[in-house]
Amino acid sequence: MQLWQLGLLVGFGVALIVYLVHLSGGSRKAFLGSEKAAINRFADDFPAITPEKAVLTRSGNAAFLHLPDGKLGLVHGFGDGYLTRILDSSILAGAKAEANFLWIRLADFTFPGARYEFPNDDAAYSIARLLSRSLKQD
Amino acid sequence: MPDISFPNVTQNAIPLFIGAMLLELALIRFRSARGSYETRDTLTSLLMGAGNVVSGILLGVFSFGALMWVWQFRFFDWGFTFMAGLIAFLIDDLRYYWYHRIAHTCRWVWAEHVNHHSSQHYNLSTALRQSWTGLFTGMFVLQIPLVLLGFHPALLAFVYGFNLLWQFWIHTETVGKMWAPVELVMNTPSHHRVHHATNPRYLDSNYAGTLIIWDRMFGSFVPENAEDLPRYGIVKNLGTFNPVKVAFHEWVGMFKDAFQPGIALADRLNYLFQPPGWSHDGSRQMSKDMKAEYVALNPSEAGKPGLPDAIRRSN
Repeated sequence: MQLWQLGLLVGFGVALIVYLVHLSGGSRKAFLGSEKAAINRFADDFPAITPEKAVLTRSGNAAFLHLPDGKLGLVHGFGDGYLTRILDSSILAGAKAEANFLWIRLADFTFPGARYEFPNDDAAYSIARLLSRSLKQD
Repeated sequence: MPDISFPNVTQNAIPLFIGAMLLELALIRFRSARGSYETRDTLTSLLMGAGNVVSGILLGVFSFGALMWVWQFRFFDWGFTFMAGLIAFLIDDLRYYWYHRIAHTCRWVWAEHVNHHSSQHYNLSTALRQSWTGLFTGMFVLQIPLVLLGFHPALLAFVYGFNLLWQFWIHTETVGKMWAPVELVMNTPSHHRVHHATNPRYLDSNYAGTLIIWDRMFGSFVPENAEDLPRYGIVKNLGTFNPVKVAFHEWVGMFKDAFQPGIALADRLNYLFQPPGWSHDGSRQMSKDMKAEYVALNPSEAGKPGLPDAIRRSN
């Protein structure tokens, strides 16, 4: 097979499959929906840690979890799946709240941070406070 | 030396790959078969596959050239007969087993292999989520004994294509457990689902390419357990669909660890060559730690396939 034929075939194949996946519902986003779902998802990755409670974002596809040692955990919707992190000083690079929004910055090559919207200002500010405390530890 | 060329098996199979993915997608969407596809995840996997082809064309010449140089020192010459191809296939499958086992237990090689495991989905597109940096690890040296035994590098490349072809179709959830004799000898979708799972019992198991007998022989076989269905991905899932970041994230992380200030030279080397999860201060978990933790939380599971017998307690 010549190089141009190979390129054409690969390009056509990729475009066709991705388009059909999208058309058939493949672009649906992850949705936690409840605090319990967030805690269960966190437990899949950190079975030895039992979060005390979870605070869902407004969209319901991410949650911050209060951990027993005072730290915060994160369940973050990613595509139709999730990634989880413990937000301690080894990974956290910054956190800021403004109104009902929270921005976090992480020292993580594939997940450098995100913006979250909460149902109210209190949730955003209280999480930002806890994250700032984690940043100052160690 | 005869002037011989073999067809590129994987490149010629691209139409088959496309057709099989379309069939799997249709079965999942319209016949309620097990499995899932996500748009951006699929795009990433396919772009990783395309990048692998490009990297093979650009860089493969170096490893092939090195093996051709070794060829002059061969002890035997098996030629290009069907029997030579069959024996080469079997021995190369054993070579693949050890390459794959090293890839999961040495971070230097894991750095290139991890991207194949980075999807949280397990479907035929995941099979094509291949490395761009395989040559960097130097693992082609495992083929040198085969060349010295008299299998021509072109023949090895040809038979390895069939190995990859077998490995393609087993990346699916739509096929359950197969006929027992097949499950006994061959690497099947069920066995390979286990390999891609992050459940503690399944970590570091089922390294086979085509024949699962290698895992059974070398003690790394774990059967799929219907009560603990595989969860796919890596223990610290990625937060990007960017194929360049997927391809290089572990290299970045590994060198960042190895070049951090204030650690001994031995620790720097350990960050490169110890198993994934190793850390100089013990702050991270390796797969053996996760298995031990799982057994501590679920004592009734101790000693089951893939899990340690008992918890070692320190005073």
